[in-house]
Amino acid sequence: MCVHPRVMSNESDRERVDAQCRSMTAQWVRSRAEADPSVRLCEFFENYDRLGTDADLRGIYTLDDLKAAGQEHGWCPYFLARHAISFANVVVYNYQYMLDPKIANLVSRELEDKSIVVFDEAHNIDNVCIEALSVTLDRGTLEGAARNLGRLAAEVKRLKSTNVQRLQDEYARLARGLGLAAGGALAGAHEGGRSDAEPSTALAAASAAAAAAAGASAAAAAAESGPASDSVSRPAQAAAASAAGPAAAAGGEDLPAAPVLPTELAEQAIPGNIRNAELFVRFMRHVVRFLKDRIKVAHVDSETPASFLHRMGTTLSVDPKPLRFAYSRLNSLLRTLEVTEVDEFAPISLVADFATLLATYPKGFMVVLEPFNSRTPHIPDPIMQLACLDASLAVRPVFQKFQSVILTSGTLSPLDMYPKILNFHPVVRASFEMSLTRPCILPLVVSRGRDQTPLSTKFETRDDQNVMRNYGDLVVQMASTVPDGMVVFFPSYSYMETIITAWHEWGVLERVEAHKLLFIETKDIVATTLSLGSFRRACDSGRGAVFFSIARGKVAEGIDFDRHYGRAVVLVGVPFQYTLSHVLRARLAFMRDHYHIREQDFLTFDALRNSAQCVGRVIRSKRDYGVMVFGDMRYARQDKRTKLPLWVQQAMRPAHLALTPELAASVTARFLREMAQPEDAEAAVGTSLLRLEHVKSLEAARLADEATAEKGVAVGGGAAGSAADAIREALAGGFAAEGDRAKPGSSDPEHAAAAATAEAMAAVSYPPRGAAGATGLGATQQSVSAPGAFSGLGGFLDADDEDDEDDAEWMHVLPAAASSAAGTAGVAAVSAGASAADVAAGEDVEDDPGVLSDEEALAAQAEAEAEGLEASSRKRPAPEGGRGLSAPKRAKAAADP
Amino acid sequence: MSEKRGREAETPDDEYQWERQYERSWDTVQEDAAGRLVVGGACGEGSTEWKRRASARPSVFTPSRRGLLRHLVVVLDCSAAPALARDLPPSRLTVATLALQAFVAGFFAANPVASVALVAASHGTARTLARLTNGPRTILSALAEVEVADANADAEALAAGDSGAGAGAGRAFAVGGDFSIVAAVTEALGALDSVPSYGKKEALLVTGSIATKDGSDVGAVIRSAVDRRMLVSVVSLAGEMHVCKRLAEETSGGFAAALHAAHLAELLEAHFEPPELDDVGAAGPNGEERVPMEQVGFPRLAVGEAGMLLPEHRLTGEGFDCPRCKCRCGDVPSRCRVCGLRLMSAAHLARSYHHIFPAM
Repeated sequence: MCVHPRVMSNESDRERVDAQCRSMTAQWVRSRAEADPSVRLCEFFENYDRLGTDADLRGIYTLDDLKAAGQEHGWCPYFLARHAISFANVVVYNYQYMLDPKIANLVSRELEDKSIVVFDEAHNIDNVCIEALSVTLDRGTLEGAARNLGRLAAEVKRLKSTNVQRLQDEYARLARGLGLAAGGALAGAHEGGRSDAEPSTALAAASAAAAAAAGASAAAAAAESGPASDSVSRPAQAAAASAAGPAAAAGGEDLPAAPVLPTELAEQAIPGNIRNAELFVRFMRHVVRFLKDRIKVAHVDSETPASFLHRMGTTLSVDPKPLRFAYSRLNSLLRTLEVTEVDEFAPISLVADFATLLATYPKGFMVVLEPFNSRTPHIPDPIMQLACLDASLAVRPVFQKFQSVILTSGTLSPLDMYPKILNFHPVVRASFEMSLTRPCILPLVVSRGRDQTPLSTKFETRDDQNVMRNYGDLVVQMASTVPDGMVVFFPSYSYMETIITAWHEWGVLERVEAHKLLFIETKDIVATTLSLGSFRRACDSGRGAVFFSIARGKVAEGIDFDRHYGRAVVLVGVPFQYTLSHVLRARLAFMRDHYHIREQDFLTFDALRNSAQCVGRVIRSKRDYGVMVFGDMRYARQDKRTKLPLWVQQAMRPAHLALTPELAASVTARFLREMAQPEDAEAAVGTSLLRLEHVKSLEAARLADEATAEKGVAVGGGAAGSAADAIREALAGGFAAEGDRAKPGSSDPEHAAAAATAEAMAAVSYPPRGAAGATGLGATQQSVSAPGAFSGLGGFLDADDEDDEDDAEWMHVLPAAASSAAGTAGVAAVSAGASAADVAAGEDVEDDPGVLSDEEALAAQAEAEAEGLEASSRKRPAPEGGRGLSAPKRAKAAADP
Repeated sequence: MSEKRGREAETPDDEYQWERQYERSWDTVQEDAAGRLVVGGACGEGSTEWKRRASARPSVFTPSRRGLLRHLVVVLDCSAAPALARDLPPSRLTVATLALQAFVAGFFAANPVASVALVAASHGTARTLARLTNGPRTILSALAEVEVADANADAEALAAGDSGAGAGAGRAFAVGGDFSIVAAVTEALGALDSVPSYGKKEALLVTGSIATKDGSDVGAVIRSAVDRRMLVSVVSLAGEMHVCKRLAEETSGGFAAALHAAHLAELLEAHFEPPELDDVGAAGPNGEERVPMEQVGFPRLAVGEAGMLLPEHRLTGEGFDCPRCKCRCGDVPSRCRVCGLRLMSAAHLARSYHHIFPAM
């Protein structure tokens, strides 16, 4: 996101960019620059700091828009975006900004409690949660950590001889308590009231001038405090910077906050034995040495954190308690030492992260030691993983803080699994069918080969030559039937390698290549990107291509094979996870013990959500069509089939549950011919296109429902199909709840969280052009490092552009799948305080009064939004009066003027 | 309708599913308030096929320019894929050949002054089996040649991708190999090379392949078709192929995918009507209409004399004398072999007029 020319000369290295940024924007660098003009500062940041904080940002900014604006005004777009979060109405960013405590505490802390959080594409949310709290160490990291410690020790020594005062300041500060040294993780804005009263916050005042203290404690006002602190004398400023995370934020790029969750962070003083910088370095040396010893395992081993800590305690004869503070203490030290090249200290940070998590959470984690790296299974390269087993840990603060949380995805099924694994009580949940004018998906289950061999990748039969040969037959049959692009998903890399080798020997690949070019996903991201590009070119030129991919790979999650890029998808087998993985086993055992989820249930659920994700790649808009071939007999079984999303089940016909490859090909050929027929635009009216009268009748029905629904139903959550839709709906105050679906009192009214799925249709109205569509969402919107989310949004708007000339005056109802951002999960938070008045009305407002144009609809809606917001912030108490917007089409009704 | 097909198209014979609604069609006849008999219910309401046919004909006649002197190249995909695909029994190629035979006859009946050529694409190349001609005879015999080649093709050899005999230029035509859209369009452009600027160049590509294997850029050949104002319509028997659709759309032709043999015939019939002229005869830079003039001769039938050798080396008892050079030719409409004058009878011209002034 940086626009600085010198920094961006080494764009490819993210860490390097971060470090360079820090070296020019850190508080101490800036203050040094005041004394010494030769110190180079970032002019963009300086400009932003002087002027940008008062910038009047209106409208919608995508990542590129922000960059352009930054270039134009000479403001740093990154800090501009960070600043804008505090007043933006809609923010779209990655999951990590909300879920990873290290980042969330810096970025998302200032969001208001009444914000509505929408997790789009939430089907993988549990994995993101787990990743956010897991740490993996290998030998290289530990070596690096040891080196880092050596350097730290030298630095401390140097500082001791030059500026003892600074070290003593730090010591004194730490002695007073943990305070804000944790990077502001604790005294977050959401607990602002309390943090003011805490004695620990006052410590900044002790050593710094009043202005800096104000900056430190008033976290919410942090962004504005930058100029104020310029006037403060240097030592005081340094102390403020290192003591107060929020104030540091005013200075520039700050260090990541503690990896643990705010609620878990011990509000106590850092133990005496690590307060002294030298002692801390020595302590960490012991820890690293122990880890280096421990990692040398000959066989796989796993241990609970408690036993690991106990062993560490007895071996080192130290009390493991200080470990909890390792991360905060390290950050404090790095600040004190005014280290700018933080990227070089990544190994020790990782170790500190590991130690902190290990000591903080006795439950829900597991230390797994493996002697071999999965990439090189024969060369000893031991790794030590601290695996988070409990997905609910990372997401819990979100549920607790925000009043309304919405989970939505096209493939969020079965629905009851998510509340279990994330440990929350949904208020509303709903699953919608796809309302399409024609049956544009064709799910087929191929259960037997040509010779009646059951097709399955289950462990006993997967290496059977007959099975592999029949899979080859299936792929050849489909490749010779389906024009243009086709995707084949394999359950794992190893199986793909095995089967491709076999196919090569048997000439299967040759037969495939007679019809289509062949591209394969590899672990190398560059190679995969290249082959994807070539794949697209082959589809464009009519040569046709088939892409061999992994069901759990990057392609399955993030790449769309829409239109002619994917007319068919073939799933070879059920993509179960690698069940021998120790981390997975530990997680399964944990879930069995704590959430009463049977191992098998979870595995099936996980495999099928992946399958659904894979097959969903081919259909990305209502005009698209595609064949979905489930190549495993197990898909035909009731327990598997019913776990697929409703829109797939709905299209799956009993006759297509046990096909052979040949039959599948002939059904496919017929389907493709039918789908190639011109569409009947009239047929879409009433199902996927709504006229004004439809909208009106739906609105009337909604009002009627609302009247019958009991008042005061505690609800906060919307059922919606896409982030954009949900945001709009939520803005309109339509916190979905139909009387019969809501469960009154089932949740804490303070923090009502609702899970809703949009299996299929949700109403989205949008203006003809993608850009205008984004504008139409209304209000200031900032995208923070979420190009995917935004381009996805834009992409889906664009995707239907082609048919807009003829039906621009119609209200569109799109399949939810179409709206899903391209792989990048979008999280949207809406700050309720800001007004939505600055909606840029669309340009081409239709003159025809009889038909509601999209622009008018949006403008009207935006007004409603503004009203709704005011109403909700003014008089409504936390539990919002539920307004029933359960059916997806009803959401549209909100747009009725 | 497509939904219905999707749901019920299980047995092979239900391609005529739509006909079922005509069963017991007398039940649907009802008497309205005024005592008149009206056809209601299934026949009128649900029959999308009927609706489609009805809507195909414009209710209001709008005057438009249509080129009567049509020059159409029929390009038939004779590669291995359509010859092997059995989803339209006996094979896509056979079905297409039969449909084209009916089409050619009907086309000349509807457009007596048009000329048609036949190009067959196989083995990655395309060759002109019949040059532009004004009568169905040559085309039909060329189609018969394709039929023979289709029958002679060895399924095993085709499946194995063996190009076998016939790939060379000098040898007899053979079915098989790969389909190349570049070769097909290039050959069609070549076949239409002699067409004067006022003539409408059209190509009708009947394909049954799911892929095209080209040695050069497809985009370039599409651009050259656009540049040379050739309108390419594609009728596919294999569903929608992106590049075919693109070709049709960019050259302002039409893309259609046939569901079954009857539907294919119907789609081909749609090409009986000449396309609207947009470029030819448009107003020139100075505002004057650039309607090109074409000389036409109405020859006399000369009968009774003894056998006479025609310029095309055919011995005949009767023929037509060119009004300009008195040279004799065997058939009208045609071009005089000597002076190049377009020869036709008044009846031909009159019969072509129904496209411009349809019987209401």
